[in-house]
Amino acid sequence: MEKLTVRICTGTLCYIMGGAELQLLGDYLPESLADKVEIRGATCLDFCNQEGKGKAPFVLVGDQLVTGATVAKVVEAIKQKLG
Amino acid sequence: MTPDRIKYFIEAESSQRTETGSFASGDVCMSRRTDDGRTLLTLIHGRGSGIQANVTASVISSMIVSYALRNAPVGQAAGSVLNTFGGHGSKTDASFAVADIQADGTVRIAEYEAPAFLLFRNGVPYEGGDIQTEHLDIATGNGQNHTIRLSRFGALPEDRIVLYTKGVIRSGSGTQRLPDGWTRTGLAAAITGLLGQTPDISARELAAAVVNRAEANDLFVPKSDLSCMSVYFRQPRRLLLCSGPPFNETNDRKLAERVKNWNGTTVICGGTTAAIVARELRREISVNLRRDISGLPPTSAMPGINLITEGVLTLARVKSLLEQASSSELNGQGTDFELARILLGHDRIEFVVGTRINPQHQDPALPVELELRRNVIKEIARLLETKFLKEIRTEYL
Repeated sequence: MEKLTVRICTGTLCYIMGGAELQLLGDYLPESLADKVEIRGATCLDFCNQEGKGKAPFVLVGDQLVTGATVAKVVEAIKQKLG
Repeated sequence: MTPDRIKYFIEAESSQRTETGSFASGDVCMSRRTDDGRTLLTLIHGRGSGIQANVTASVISSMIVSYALRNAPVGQAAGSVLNTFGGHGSKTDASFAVADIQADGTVRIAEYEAPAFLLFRNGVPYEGGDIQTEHLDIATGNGQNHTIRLSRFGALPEDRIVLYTKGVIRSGSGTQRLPDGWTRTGLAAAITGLLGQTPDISARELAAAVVNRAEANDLFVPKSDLSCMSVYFRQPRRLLLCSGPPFNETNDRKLAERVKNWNGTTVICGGTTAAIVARELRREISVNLRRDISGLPPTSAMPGINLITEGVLTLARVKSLLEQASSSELNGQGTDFELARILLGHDRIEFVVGTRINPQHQDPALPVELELRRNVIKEIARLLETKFLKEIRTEYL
């Protein structure tokens, strides 16, 4: 089964707005989800400059954008995506 | 700066140790790059060690450099120094060696009471006919006579010059292994050995190796101040550092072409910048998603690029490191140290700075104040040029 790709923006703005903690996402994923998810970094997703996209930090869970992302919000989004 | 007419890069570095128990070294090493492309080096040994010797040596060094910057004859500079401080035998005497290296490789060295410089050509000591030597007699106001040794030659690519203080060749005196000290012959043999092992050893590493060995000769308790200056005429190590998206998107291709056509080390600072290059050159980019000891955002990798970092946070850290560094030796872990070491390990650095500003970075509500990228890079370039004698070129896109 294809893994769900989670892309964490590591751009400057996302990093200083909380993105640094998101790099620990893999440590907080429940075991049941860990082998279903591939966590990758993205150099800059540029959502910060797009109107109406919400606040940094940004994470893409599959094609779903998580704004003002925290580890808890991203884990919740992953759970929803994987059903 | 006119790097185009310089055939090679002149790397000049020094290394020092203070006499054990002394509060300050009586040796002063100074290097300066002038506006007309000359490299000036002074190695002054103040009599004894400690604060007085250090102050004497510092003032003499400044005097000599001031005269040299005005292209005054070395005899005039030496005469002024000797009239002010007295020569050999006075309480404030000092020995000195001054090297004036022109951009075309013409070298003039003036030495007073200093051990004779060493020139290495093809990895071995050279004292052949290419070196013209004369002696300049100077009479000071108190009726004393002093002699300055003047040497002149044309440097060739891969030549090395080594200046050093008496403490270096006297190191080891009285020990079983070196009862007469290291001597100039011993020093020359040691450097020949080093060059044989590592022909492209940097000037910095060579100077450090000499001082380290001298300290070891003294059984790690230096009996006098140890100083060595090393010059290396070499093929320049070139670095391209790109940071910032171009102000106009139509220049994205130009930025990518700079990267593609570059011959040397390439660094990109900035995720957006890296993404532009990756898109234009159709290369994959991957983020090394792991915590870095520096606390900075993660680095990335792309084929053909030696290092990709985040932009302004990393550059601001590097600026701080360069401000605080007292030499080109930087020991420390983390992306900031890694990038600083790359900058310091190259001779000719070209910055390509994209001036498009991310307005979100200027939001006053941000928890961290972000400087303008181009200002940070301008300051980094200034430090590299004035403090570390690098040749810098900056292009704005």
